Amino acid sequence: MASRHGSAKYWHIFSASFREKFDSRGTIVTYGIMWSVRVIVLLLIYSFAFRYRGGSPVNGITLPTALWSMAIYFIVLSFDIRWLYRAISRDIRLGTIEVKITKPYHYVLYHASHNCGRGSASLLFVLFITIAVLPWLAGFPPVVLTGQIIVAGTLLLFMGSTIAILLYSAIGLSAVWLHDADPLYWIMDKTIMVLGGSFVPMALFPPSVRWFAEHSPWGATMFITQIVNPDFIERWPQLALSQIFWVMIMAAITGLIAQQANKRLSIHGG
Amino acid sequence: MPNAIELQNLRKIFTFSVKNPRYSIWKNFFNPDRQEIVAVDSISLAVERGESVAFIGPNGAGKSTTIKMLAGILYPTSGTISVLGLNPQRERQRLSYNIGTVFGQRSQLVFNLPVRDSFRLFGKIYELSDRMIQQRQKELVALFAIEDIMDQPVRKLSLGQRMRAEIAVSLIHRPKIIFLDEPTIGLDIVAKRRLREVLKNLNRKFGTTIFLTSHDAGDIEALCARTIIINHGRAILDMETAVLQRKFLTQKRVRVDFSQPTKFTAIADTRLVHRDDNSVQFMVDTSKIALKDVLDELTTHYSIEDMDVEHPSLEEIISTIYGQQAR
Repeated sequence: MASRHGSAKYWHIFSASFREKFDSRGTIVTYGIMWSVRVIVLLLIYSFAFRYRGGSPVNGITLPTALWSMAIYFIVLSFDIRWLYRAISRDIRLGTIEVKITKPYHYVLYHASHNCGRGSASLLFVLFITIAVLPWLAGFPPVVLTGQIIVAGTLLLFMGSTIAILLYSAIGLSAVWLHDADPLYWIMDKTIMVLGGSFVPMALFPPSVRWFAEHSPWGATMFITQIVNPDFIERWPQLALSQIFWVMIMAAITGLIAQQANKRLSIHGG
Repeated sequence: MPNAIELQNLRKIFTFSVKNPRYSIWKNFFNPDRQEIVAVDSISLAVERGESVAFIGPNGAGKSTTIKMLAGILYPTSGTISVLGLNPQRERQRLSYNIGTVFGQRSQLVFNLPVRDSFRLFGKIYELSDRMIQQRQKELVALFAIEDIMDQPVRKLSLGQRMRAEIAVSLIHRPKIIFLDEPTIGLDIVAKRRLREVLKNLNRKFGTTIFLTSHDAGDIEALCARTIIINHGRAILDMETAVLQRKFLTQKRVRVDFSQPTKFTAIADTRLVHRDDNSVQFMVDTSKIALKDVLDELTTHYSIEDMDVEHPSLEEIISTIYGQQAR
């Protein structure tokens, strides 16, 4: 019973955060507009690039595939996992961590549930816009969504999000040592942006960069973007293995950082 | 049954780097000098279950550091801590089911949702059943008189309302100990008085141990049967609050109004504060001269219309103790 309730509390944190964010409709709509602008700019740039090549595929990737891949990146981004860094480092800097770590939950999981709950409100809105608008603008990618693809995609999304949670938490916790961990965060965030395929889909990377992206934790956070690639069905087991590896490595590293941070924590006024 | 709190030679040292003007910029950057501050210095004490204890001291005395070590937030440099028989650092999660914490103006409520939602969320975090959450919420809402704010978003509450809600929510799991760090800071007199009443009831009704730090002597007077004074990281005094007041009540302020213009001559072993033709104020140290002797001399030699003898407030007593320590 304890373990059932134990995991249920994270669901309640998620749900309360979702309701809290859902109340700020203005923020969600602004986020939706920002997402739309990004996708429209990408649409214009990539339409021009593909037209320049006479509309033929690049690296076996068509225009709709490239656009859907990048749109998926921004959908996942709206999940707000990256702000886990800000939440944790702010807690440490301002001392608000003291009201959270005296509660019966895992501090990092609390923030992960909280941020994902808040992010889900934006994510749902952005997902709705994507499904409503992108087929009109870019058409459909040439992929048939089978049960296997959906299951594999869900798995890659879950593991990618887990890696992202661990990466951003580790940077957030580093605020115990560094008074300002922002530079680390920006390096991490931009590396994920580049290697995760935000403005250039992974399938369009040069082979060596693609290999690096697929074997690094930064690229592994966004393997879900490859779900629209024609070779996804053959490649997903390899991607999943890479993610499992990084989940284990990052869990060990973040666990160690959390343990050390716990001992070194100091809060003003004590 | 173990005591609520037991500390043995508790020490906490903070270290930080300091710039040395004699060093080069590189040495200061890569290998700076380190400085140590002893925030808590060998504190040993025990608090029984159901006690209400004030843990007070001037700024930087080490009281917040101690309370944070008791709650498992900070690690001690050395010494042992036992809270309800548990080690707060090694068994923080287990302990968290049995303690409540309120840290001054830090909020733990869900800012944009109604207070009711925070009760439910915290009930779930403490793994209470829906029925239990309802029951506890009902009790606490009545105890803290917050029925009228239950459906208001937290962001819309006044500071006094929010503090009552904060403390109520932090008690949803009925903790055996509640750590209160400056709970009345920023509250107006009415809100303070109300909060103190509620905390007193809580201690009486549920036997909740109260461990309080505050700069407000009113909190201590109203709530705590025992007072521990800490300064420079050391416990310098530990006694019942009532005894503390009696023991340090050697100073009395005497104010006299004469029925006619009078030339007053200072009484030996008293300290004159104010004198004019119609009235006089002076301090009497009862360890040097009995108050009765002073009053006898006044009534024998002067024609008196009115007279007051005042005790110093607890605030003045505490201030005197801090002052003695500083010297």
